[in-house]
Amino acid sequence: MAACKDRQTARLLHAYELGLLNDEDRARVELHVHQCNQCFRELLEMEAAARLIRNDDQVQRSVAELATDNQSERASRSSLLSFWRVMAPVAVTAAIVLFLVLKDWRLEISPQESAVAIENRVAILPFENLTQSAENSDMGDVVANLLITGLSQASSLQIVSSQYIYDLSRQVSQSEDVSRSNTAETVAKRARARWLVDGAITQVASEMVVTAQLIEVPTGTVRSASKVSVNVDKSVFAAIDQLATDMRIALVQPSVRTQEVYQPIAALTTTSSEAYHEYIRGIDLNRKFFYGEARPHFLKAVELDSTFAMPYYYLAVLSTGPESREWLNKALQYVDRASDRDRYFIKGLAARLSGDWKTNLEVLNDFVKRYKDEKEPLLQLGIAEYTYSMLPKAKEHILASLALDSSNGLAWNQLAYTYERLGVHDSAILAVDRYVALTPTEPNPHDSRADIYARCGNLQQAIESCRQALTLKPDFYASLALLGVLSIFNEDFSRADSCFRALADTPNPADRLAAALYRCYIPAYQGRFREALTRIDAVIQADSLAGSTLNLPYRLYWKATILEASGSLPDALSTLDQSLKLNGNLDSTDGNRRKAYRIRLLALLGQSAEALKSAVRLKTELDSGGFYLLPFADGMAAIYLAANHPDSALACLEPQQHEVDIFYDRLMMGKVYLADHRLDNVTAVLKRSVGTYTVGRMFWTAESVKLHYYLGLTLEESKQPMRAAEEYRTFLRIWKNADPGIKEIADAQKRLAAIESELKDSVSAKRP
Amino acid sequence: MKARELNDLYDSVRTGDSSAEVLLFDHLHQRFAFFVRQRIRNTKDAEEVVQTAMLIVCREYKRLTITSSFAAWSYRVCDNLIIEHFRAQKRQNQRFGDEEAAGTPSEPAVEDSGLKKRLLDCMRKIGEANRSYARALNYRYQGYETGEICRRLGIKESALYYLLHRSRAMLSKCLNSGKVR
Repeated sequence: MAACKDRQTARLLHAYELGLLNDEDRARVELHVHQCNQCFRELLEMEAAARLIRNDDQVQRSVAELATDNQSERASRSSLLSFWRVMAPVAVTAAIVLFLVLKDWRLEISPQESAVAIENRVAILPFENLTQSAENSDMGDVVANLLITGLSQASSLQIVSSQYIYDLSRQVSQSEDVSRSNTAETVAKRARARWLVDGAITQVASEMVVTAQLIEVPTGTVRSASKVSVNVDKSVFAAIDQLATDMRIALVQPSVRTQEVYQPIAALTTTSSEAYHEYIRGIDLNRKFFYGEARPHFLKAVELDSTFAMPYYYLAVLSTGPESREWLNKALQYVDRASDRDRYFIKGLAARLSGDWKTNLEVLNDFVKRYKDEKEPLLQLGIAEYTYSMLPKAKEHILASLALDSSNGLAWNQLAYTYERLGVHDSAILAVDRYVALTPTEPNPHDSRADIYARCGNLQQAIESCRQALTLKPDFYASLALLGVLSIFNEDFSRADSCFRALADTPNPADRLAAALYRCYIPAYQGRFREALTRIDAVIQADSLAGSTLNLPYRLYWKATILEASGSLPDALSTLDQSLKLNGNLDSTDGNRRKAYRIRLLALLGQSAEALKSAVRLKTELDSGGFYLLPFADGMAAIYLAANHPDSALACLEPQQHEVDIFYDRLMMGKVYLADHRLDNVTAVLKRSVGTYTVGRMFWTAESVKLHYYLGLTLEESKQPMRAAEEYRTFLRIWKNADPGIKEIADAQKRLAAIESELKDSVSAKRP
Repeated sequence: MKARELNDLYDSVRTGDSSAEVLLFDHLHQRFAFFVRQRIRNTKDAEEVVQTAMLIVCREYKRLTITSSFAAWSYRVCDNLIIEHFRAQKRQNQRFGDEEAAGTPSEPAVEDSGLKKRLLDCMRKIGEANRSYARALNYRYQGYETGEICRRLGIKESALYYLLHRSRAMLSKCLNSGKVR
């Protein structure tokens, strides 16, 4: 077959395969391919390979490595020479085009390397620890962190955060086999720092000696060098104060220095070096998402110095409910003993926990303004906006953070979740894959990938990713819990049970408490509500005997949903009332959700006047707290539904629909559409819910399965009997061992039998 | 088959040539299926769009008088249906905050482990010979649009397309012979 003569269009084939063409060019290529057998054959030949290039994780990782590998760049340059030799006889035009391409290629430097160093930016790397003492194994990190705190007080300096240094160091050491000094220089360059502080710690008899050098990165010259000793007469804080003073003399103009007041580092952290050691260990574990392991170090830090603000902050982050607030109050009490930078974190969390989202955003916006070129404030702002469902803004700020540091795994992680909630599933998976590629040996990226896959409806790949996370760290409890829940969705109940049993043996009390509730999900998901209720009562009793009432409101909330599913509406209401009376482990948002659910139960019990009163009270509370009105809309919709006014229910929910992204809201939306016979809408909503496998969905255990029944009803009404039958079969399969007397089961059986008989009749009618 | 031939085939079908009709519909089905596969990930949705496109062409091509180009008209039918599919999804998205309907699968996995092995090997060879290709792909994986990729690579769009074209030729050769050049 002759070659394609339209070379200009033929050159666009690979860009087309990779989805890189704009609509106009894509249409041009497709119209050409529509008519050109040669190009069509070429595309078909490469179709499988192109699909692998587009989507395969391993290929993407390999490409990412090649894209950042300096060695391959060197190799490519030598290949380039031979390439030119081969290409010499090629026509002049082609040579010019090639020259232009290759010219650009020679100029290529990765964005991080090409960026101009910022004049006053300083990168401080963990000091090399040459003491060989197990006791002081983290001394290098301790010294660097203290120095960061000390130098951050100089307003004319921009100190690169330790998290960014950690990310870059890990990336450089993974991709390149170079010496420490080269690594330090590369890290500083990538951090766009003009100045690098590097040093070492040695031990001479009982004295520890810290040496530091201030290096001008572009030239490699040493601007100044310092040496301090830490002995019985001098604490490590005082020694690092001395180092910080030396660095400031070298870096800050005397006129500026005299205008500023620099506090001793101990006044901004702690006076106990042991407490600081514990804090640094906790930070390191927390960075890796090893929350259970990080927590004891923060506890130890505040035990050693009860005025140390930042460990309180991290304890507040790692806790929930009243416990979290208690820790935060302590952090606020000692906020003056934190650096300026750390104060933003504490104040932001304070606003978030009190439900004051406006102040939280104000604090974080200030944080971004104050530290313009830093990724962390932008990321924190993005995370807050994500939490408040301001998704387009969240995406914008997370991308801005990534523009400053594309190696930040946490930002890719958050971007993946943001894309997922925006409904852009392909991008969510790409982002989480990027996170995995950056830190393939850590468990959390795989755990996040599992979560994203599950949210995008890909249950089997989600389970596989959970297993990968657990292979890397068998005691990574977040993955263990997720694997258990996903196994329930996968109807692999024995695996789910073994996951939750393992989770019940963990050292972290929060995981143990969660495991007890998760085990109750297993019979409930199979429609065995009596067994589930017996289990939850036993769990509540065991908690009470152990004096643990922290999770009681949440357990009672779930119990109410199961009582409702088993048809005991009055018991469900009284149990929920009990839950609401307890001032427990639920923040205000969860409390509002429970109130919305209570309104629904009241409406179902025919107590519409009381339901309406509760709805009005809820609206007042939501308005005064500045919260979203969705729980109120859910409550009102439930009242109208019970009164058989689906159109009014819809009028309540529709204005809030842009905020609908949790299971219960979607369920309410689906029920309203179903009652109003809006079949296209209800199918879309229910399909979305059926294809989302989350822990939040599993909380609504019975409704989670009944979705198949509702979907069956919708499809049947939409004259899609085959698909309806499929949904009824799924529903009946999951509840094949359910308690007797569940009316939805009887109805589904009847409907399925009718569909099957109708299909049989139509088949026999067609036979001759 | 060249453009004129496709249009000639259409003319033959219009005059009642049933063997030409089979060839024509075989051609259309293959092309439509390919175009739709490129853009719609959900296999069921993709099949539905192809079937609908084929039905429309089947229903209309004898009724309409296509004077300009049957090839262009039939392509437009398929393209419009794909666009309509995405619009329907977008409407759902606006309504429910969900761009794609539930259970949106990723593209069907390629099961050929031999191909994957060869591809990885070839990508390494090409990446070593031409780092720009790896970097362009890597930016694409990060979700950047073409303009942004060009900006980051410091090249124009036409140069990017040429770079991709050249790399594809190397890849094709490598997949067949194991050699880049």
